[in-house]
Amino acid sequence: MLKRIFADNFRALVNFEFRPDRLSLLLGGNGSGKTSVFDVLGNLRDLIVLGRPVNELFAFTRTRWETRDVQRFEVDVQSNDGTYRYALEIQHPEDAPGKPFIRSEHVTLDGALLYRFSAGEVQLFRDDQGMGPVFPFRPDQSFLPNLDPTVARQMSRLAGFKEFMAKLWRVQPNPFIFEAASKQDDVFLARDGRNFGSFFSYLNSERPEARTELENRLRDALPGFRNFFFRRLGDAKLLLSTFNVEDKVSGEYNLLELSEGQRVLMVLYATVCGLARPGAVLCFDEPDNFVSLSEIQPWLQFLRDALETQGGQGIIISHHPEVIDYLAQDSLWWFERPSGPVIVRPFDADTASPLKLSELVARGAA
Amino acid sequence: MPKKLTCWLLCEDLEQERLFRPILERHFRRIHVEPRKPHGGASFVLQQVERLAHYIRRRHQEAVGLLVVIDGDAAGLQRRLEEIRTAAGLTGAVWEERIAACVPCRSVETWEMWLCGEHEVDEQTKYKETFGREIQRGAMSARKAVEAWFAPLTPEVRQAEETRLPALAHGRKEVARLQRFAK
Repeated sequence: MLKRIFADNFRALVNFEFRPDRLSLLLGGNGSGKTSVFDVLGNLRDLIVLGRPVNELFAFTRTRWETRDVQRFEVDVQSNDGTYRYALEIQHPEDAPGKPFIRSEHVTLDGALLYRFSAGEVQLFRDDQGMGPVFPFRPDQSFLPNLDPTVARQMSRLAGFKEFMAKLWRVQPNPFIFEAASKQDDVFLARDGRNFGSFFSYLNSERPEARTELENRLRDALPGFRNFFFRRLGDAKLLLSTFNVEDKVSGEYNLLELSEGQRVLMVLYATVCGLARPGAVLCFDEPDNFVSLSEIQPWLQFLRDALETQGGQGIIISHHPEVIDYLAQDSLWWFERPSGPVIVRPFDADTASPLKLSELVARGAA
Repeated sequence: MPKKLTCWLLCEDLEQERLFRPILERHFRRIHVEPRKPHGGASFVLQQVERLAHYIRRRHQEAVGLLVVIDGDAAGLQRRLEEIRTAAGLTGAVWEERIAACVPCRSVETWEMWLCGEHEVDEQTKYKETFGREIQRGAMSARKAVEAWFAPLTPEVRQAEETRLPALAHGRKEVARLQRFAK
């Protein structure tokens, strides 16, 4: 479980610390820094799991009014083995703008080093805390994506941290850029959901129980929806959905023929069905966009039940009254920037007021 | 068949939702959980009862039911029921048909512990912390309580339930009434 996020000198996050719970809702005005928290998590994941270079992820992300040339990030993760801490320092050289590099990178478990990168050198540590290999490595990307599975057997704890980061998902569906056809199975669901067809193809072949659950859920959420199937289209596959009207099959539709709201609902339910596993952290950025009012709470109920059953974690950014009122007794956090840097605090509601929480938020009562 | 098998659940907190939403889901296609507030408690629920009851009274053609859940706390079953009736401003057939009230005494954790097999509970003692510890131990959970809700009752357990937790016996009847309505 993700216990703590720290970021310093990243956009408007200066000495910023946030401790999420099992299900957290981030509230606050536009520009208050909520999405920057997801950016930190997403960037660290892409650095550690996908091996994306530092300059793609962190160039020109320093805090505008800060003069310091180093960014710092920390992530604390509670696991069955103890508490991991990942720490990263990124140097932004004044003489090479847009070309940041890793100054140092560490992973510890209950304070014991598992991995260290500094001064261009990687030092690995075995599970028994003995010294592992030492070798030079480039500072423009993390070594962790390259952790060799054969070596990782002696370093299962370090591999465990990487596994945790691989289960960190950020979802912000954009129905305008969905791809109708897929050429492969994708284990990853893209942040914007564009590869939904390829992700469904993966569920179809590798996770049939998740596929069945997804179709069952969509039958409730989308009036008339029956099921998905693929049709060959050259070297690609076209994902089609069948819909009924008054118990008769009315037609087969590809993703681009569906409404934006229908596409978003498919991604939201697919995220929970396919990705809500033990240890997973699901970060939703305004999942309610495009979704009809009556469909928001059923999805939230499904998400809550899945997290409680599977042991995952959810962090949601939303301005929507349906979301705010349903999650009103979960962990609510208020983001604001009264004088520059982002400040986050537990949301404090006027409990004596007869107004709903969403009504208080709308009236600026935070 | 009713056009929409929807039931509204108006409850104080998440623990009540954990018990009552799955129970209602066995009978209704959709459960809409009404807004609640941090520390809103019984008073916020009672504030919402009036507007929801007013709507339900006017919408006879829809299969919409309302289950109101408020912990008995120190007030107890009869006083809470009176508070709900007053807040709803409804009497007679409509009240009987579409609106049900459950008053876990002393709190929902009392019912959950009883349903999970702890039959030494009473309606005066607070069990929130005890139930929390049992959850941590893995011995009890809201899900187990839901399963037990639907398990057949032996005459002995039914008798003991009516004697020790009369509010639970009343609550079962209320939910059964909504259940019949859903059909």
